[in-house]
Parts: sequence; structure tokens; C-alpha cells
Amino acid sequence: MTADPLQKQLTHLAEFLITSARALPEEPPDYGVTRLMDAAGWLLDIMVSAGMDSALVLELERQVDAARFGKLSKEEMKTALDALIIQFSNEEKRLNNG
Amino acid sequence: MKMDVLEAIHSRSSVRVYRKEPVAIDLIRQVIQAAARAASASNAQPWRFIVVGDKNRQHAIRAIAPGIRDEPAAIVAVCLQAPGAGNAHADEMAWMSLGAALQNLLLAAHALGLGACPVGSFHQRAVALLLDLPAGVTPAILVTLGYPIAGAAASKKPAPQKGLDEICFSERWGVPL
Repeated sequence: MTADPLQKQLTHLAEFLITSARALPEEPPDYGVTRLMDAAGWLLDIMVSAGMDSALVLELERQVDAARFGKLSKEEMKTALDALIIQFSNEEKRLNNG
Repeated sequence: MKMDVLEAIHSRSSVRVYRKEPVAIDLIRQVIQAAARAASASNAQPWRFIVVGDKNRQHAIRAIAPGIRDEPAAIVAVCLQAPGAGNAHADEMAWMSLGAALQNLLLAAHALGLGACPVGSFHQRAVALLLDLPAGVTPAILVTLGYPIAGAAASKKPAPQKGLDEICFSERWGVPL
């Protein structure tokens, strides 16, 4: 394992995703959403700790954590994820057009 | 902090998110000692515990344990040292005993003001490798431990419970108690 902290954190995240992929076929279907949202939260944490802490990243991290731990119903989670995806798309559009 | 046993049983729930605050090793010792007081078949005491507090080792475990959803103060690997030597019944009884120890552990943690969550989603062989488990010792379940975030339990929707009529019968199957 590498000693570089950022590379180490990203390697752990990759390992998390691979282990999740191995486990999910035997786990309840809803766990897939949980694992992907946990991975998204983890990736945003890594970005913040690596200094990539723009206002957008911090806001996304806050919203992802709220969705992860908010005990949302399936419909509430879908609504929260739609809002997050639109936010990403708006930012993408702003960057490309700006 | 002390708590009545029934109060602890009825008020405990799994805590998955923790304050960024260490837990004193003495408190963790108390939790493990309570776990080890569980009933075990033939007094085999088949449980073994590994407390992982080092952050680097925790991160490595979290990478292969998707069920761990936040950074706890400690991860306790509850392991089974099967006493059966090929005796299937003894092995089944050992697993039952381990369940009793796990429940003791969760209740003791709760009574001492800690939050805990049993985690079953992890890669067994990879965890065994990271923890240097010898042959014959299996990581049965991981338990995350830490101080709960104030108010988080109150905001949780209670987990649905089956009614007594559904799970307990009188004299024979299907007759309510």
C-alpha cells in the first residue's frame, strides 16, 4: 500500500466499492443505494481533506450526508438525489458556458 | 452511568454515526468484560475480541466493510473460535453463544453511554487477513463503537417491532399467549 495519503484514501475508496460489489448480490436491494451514497460521501470527504473544498463541494458534501443519514423514505431519497443531480448539471453548464 | 437492564434492552438501538471523540480504553474493557459474561454452551466461551482503535487500521477495515457507515472511535471484531472440531452441533451452539455475547456487548455499551452498531457486511477473509487471525478463528461480526451525536436517537424513526402475538404462543403453535 502506498504511503501517499491521498492515494491511500482513494485506494481505500476503490476497495470499498469492490467489496460492496462483491457483497451486494447477497444483500437487500436497498443496500445498493446506501453503498453508493456512502461512497459519494467518502469521495467528497477525501476531496475536502485534499484541499478541493470549493463552496460547491462543501455544499454537496452537506447534502449527501443529509441524504445518507436522514432516514429518508424511498421517494424522499429519489427527490433528494434528483435535486443533487440537477445541482451538478447546473454547475457543469455554468462552467462550460462561462 | 448505570441503567436498569430492562430499560437498556428497551431503549437501545443501533448508532451508526459518532462524535469525533475517543473512548477510553477502560470503558471498552468494561464493554468486552460484559460481553464475555454471556451464557455459553458447555461453558466453551468461544468468543474472541479484537479492539481496533488505530485510525490507519480502521480505514483499512472500513474499505472492506461496507456496513461501516461512519468513522467510529473503535471497531470491535467479534470472532468465533469454534470448539466443535468437526462437531456440527457444538459449532451451532458456539454461534448461539456468540449471539448472546454480542447482545451483552451492545447493552453494556448503551448502558455506559456509548453508541454501537453490529456490522455484518464485510469481507470475512480479508478481515481475517488484516487482523492476523489464526486458523480456526472466524470474524463473526464487527461492532462499531463511539459516542452518539446528541439528539440523533430522538430523531430516529423507531425500527418496526413484531407484536407478541406474532412471535410468542401458548402451549402450541398459533395460540396467543
